Amino acid sequence: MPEWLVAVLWAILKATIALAFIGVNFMFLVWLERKVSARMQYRVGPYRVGKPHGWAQLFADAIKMFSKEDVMPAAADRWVWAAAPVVVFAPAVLLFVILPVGPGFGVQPDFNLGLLFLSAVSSFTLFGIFMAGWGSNNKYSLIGAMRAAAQLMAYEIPLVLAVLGVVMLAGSLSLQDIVEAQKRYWFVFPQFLGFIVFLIAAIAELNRTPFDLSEAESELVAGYFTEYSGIRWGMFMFAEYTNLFTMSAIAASLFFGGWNGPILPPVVWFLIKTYAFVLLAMWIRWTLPRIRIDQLLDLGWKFLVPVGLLNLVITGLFLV
Amino acid sequence: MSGTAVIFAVLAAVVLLGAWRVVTSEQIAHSALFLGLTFVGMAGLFILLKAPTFALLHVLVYVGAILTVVVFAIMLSDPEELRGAGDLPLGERLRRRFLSPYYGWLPVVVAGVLVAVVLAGLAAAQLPRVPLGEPVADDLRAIGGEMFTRYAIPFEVASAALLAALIGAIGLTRRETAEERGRAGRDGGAARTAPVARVPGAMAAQGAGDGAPQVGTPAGSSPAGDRVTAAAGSSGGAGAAGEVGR
Repeated sequence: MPEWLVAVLWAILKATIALAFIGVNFMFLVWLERKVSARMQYRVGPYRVGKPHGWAQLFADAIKMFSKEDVMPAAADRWVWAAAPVVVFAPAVLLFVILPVGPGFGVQPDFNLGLLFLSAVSSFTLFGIFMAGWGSNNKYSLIGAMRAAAQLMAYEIPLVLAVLGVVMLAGSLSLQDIVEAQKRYWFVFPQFLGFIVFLIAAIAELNRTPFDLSEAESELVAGYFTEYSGIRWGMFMFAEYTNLFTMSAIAASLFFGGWNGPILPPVVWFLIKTYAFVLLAMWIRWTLPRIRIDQLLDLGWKFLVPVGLLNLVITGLFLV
Repeated sequence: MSGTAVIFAVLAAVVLLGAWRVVTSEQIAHSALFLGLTFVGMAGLFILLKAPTFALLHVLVYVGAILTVVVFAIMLSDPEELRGAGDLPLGERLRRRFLSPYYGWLPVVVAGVLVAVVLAGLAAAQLPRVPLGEPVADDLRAIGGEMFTRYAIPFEVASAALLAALIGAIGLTRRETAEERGRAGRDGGAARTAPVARVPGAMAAQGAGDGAPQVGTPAGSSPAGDRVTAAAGSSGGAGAAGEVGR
């Protein structure tokens, strides 16, 4: 076989594995979220469909989602409305490219601009949210989209500031190099301030409670995806849970040594740390109430940005 | 035709079609979306030139920052004006496109002059020709180093200009708010929520308007309203507008 064909087949194989994992992970996380929320509220959660513990509930959910009618609002901006789920979904999948799953293992973990890629690709999400909010031609959707825009703008900056501290320590933008640099100690210790900023900003970027103002169901129905049903709605959910996993994996790689760990194989360590963050996000979601939008913006601009800058200054002083 | 040339042709077509639709779309929201498409095509061209750093920076700056602000401005504007004249009869549309000065021939003339100027400049500059697919200088470390040494002063000047623009924008919003607040003070408390809600944009006012009549108590609405409007001035609190009615 010619060399380029091997490269292409290899790339297709890796992408297929990643996509299969994304699908399985989505269904697992939905089930997990329902179980975790049930536990926190002293309920059982899904139980009947599939024993033990309703494991087949996710298949029932998937079949229901696929067979639902696809309703388009009469006044919708057709193409914009129809394309929005895809634009939200695509960056979520693309971000899997840079995740380091093990030493030299992953789709393209040693991409030397990995973190630049992260911020560039995730900026499309806002675009998709705008398309959904605008295209629906519905005031709740539009207000949800506006909130999402204000929120993503306010929290993108502290997120990047927190990541920059780690980049300064590791001296590289590649997630693989950053994980390699944590062989001796985890970056959460020298970068504790940065980690706190990253954690808050990441949960806000993921639009999860207590920062899910853009889809606040008590006032905006479902925010920017009010008008979506069936598989299009499913794609928004798909993107949300995939982003949750990606952000958790990035947090684990940046601050908790990624796949580094004793005895167990690196992939297992990667998954343990990532799912620990997923569980933390779920714990926070089902514990804290939603905050107000002015509190949200205050927190972003007046607390996280200064703390992020302070962290950069301290890191710089130590490096010099 | 080689593979690279085919990809280049596709990307160039995306960029040109996107750019063409940016100026011809009847709705400004569509213009913004096509602008995004154009930027993506440009990023693709940078990747084709083996300059992934520029591609990512291009996406980050133009899609992540500039287009976000454009989108934000659109969402804060009056939707009735923005939805535009979508359903004009064909004759009227053709007349607009070819005969009327504003929509038809004047932009063509202006664009032609601009293209001529740019082409003349390019011819005079004699830029070095890099063959397609050949790597160009593309190293984030080198770019950063240059920015903080050789180009430190231009970099700082640009930052100062942006900061001035930011402060100016805040100042403009704030003055408007102060006037509205003065008027609301004369009208009495009950009318307070409405003008505050109108400031950030009519679209938000629709949502806020639903809540305002029911709340209506001056004691409950004015402190929250003031703070929220200040937030709208400083950080573009679009979402804040939705909260005014509380």
